[in-house]
Amino acid sequence: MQSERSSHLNSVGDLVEDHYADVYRFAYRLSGSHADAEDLTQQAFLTACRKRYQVQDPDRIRGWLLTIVRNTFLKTRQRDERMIAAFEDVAVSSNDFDSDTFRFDEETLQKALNEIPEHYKTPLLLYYFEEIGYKEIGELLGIPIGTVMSRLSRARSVLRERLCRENETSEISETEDSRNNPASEVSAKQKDQ
Amino acid sequence: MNNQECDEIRQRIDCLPARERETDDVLSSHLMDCPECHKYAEFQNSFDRQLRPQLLEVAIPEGLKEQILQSTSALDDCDLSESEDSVQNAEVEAELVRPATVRQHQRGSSLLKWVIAGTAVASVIVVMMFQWTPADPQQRLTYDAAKDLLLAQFQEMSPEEWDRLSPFDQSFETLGIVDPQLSEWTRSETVGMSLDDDPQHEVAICEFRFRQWSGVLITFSADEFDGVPEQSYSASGQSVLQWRSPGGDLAYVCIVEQGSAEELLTEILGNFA
Repeated sequence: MQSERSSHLNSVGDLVEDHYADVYRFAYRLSGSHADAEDLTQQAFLTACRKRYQVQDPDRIRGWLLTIVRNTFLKTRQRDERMIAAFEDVAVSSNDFDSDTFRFDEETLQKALNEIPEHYKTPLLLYYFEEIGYKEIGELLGIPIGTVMSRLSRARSVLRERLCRENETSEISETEDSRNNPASEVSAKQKDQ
Repeated sequence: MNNQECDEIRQRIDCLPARERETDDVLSSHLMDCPECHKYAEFQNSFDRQLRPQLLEVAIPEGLKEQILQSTSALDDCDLSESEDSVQNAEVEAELVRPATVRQHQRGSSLLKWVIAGTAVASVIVVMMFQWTPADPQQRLTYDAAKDLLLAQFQEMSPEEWDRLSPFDQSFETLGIVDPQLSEWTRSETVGMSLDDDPQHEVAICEFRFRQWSGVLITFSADEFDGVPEQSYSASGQSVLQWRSPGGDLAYVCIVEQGSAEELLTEILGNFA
């Protein structure tokens, strides 16, 4: 019986080999800390090792692992109602879709993610990491589809707003820099040539 | 196009991955007639194309894979699927998992003897902390403890008739997926039992923690109670909440050991609204 259960996974070594990097990346984006991500990754694989007989569909192993990371993360955090309320109050503009090039650095991206409460952030991360839609996310997290849709849509809108705002700010500051220091613009142009 | 329809379409754009957006008939027909939503869709495609690679660009710490392989190989040698071993598992895991912050400290200090000595002391403290800190619900409940709890709760049942019940035990593990109410509850590994020959009396029992509340959650594969949660008291005077799963095929009895049972009842009732 045990061997049947485990047959979905060739070995724990394969499981780790195939997924540890993605699990770590997800854990980092979720927690915002490399030290926490290391702990979460290690703990998630230990849990996965114990519960691997639960895996029904080998194609969904990675999603299952990411869900374990999320559950492990939740055990270490208190739900922050004030953060959730503040996030839900953020106004999002709905008609500014002109930019088609975004430039945001790693720090800006992680800072924007850190400001999103977990139960909005997890669907967002699953959307991008797993490239899955609201139905699959709902199944993975055990959340009704309507709830996933509203959380995902809100999280994406707020993230987009924050990153675009950052994009505009950096463009403005670059323009001001070049106004204040025309020489830098000239040298930049020379560099381009 | 009316605003409500456009709002729904934009939410749909937000919630479908790029490859599904391209083949979704509802979206396609709307986008053909609505330049604003078309612009929104183009914008989202461009945003996603640039964001995803950056999200996945996270440097992996050196040696992480080896650490995980080392810890999981030790667990892999044991048969860890049996809940009876859960206390032992907790001890094994506590030995295997040390916080990354501690590991980093250990790496940096290995060059100097006096720091090694200090690290050894720190390690002892860490191990002692693991042993003295109350265990997480994930690993605590044993078969005997579960049996005692059930005996206290259902005194008319005969303990001789109880057996381990793996199938229900396993199906209970997926409850977090099946039952959205419980998806945020941290639960221990469950102990499954049959109270008598009647399959309607299969029971899974586990400890739980949910925000400020903790206690024991007993689940029946039966529609014993009304759907709406209500509070009562056990024979031993403990607060007990009982309700039925949204699908109606599971009944829950929740013994609240920590936190206000009334407040938890309000919380659960909120999910029913």
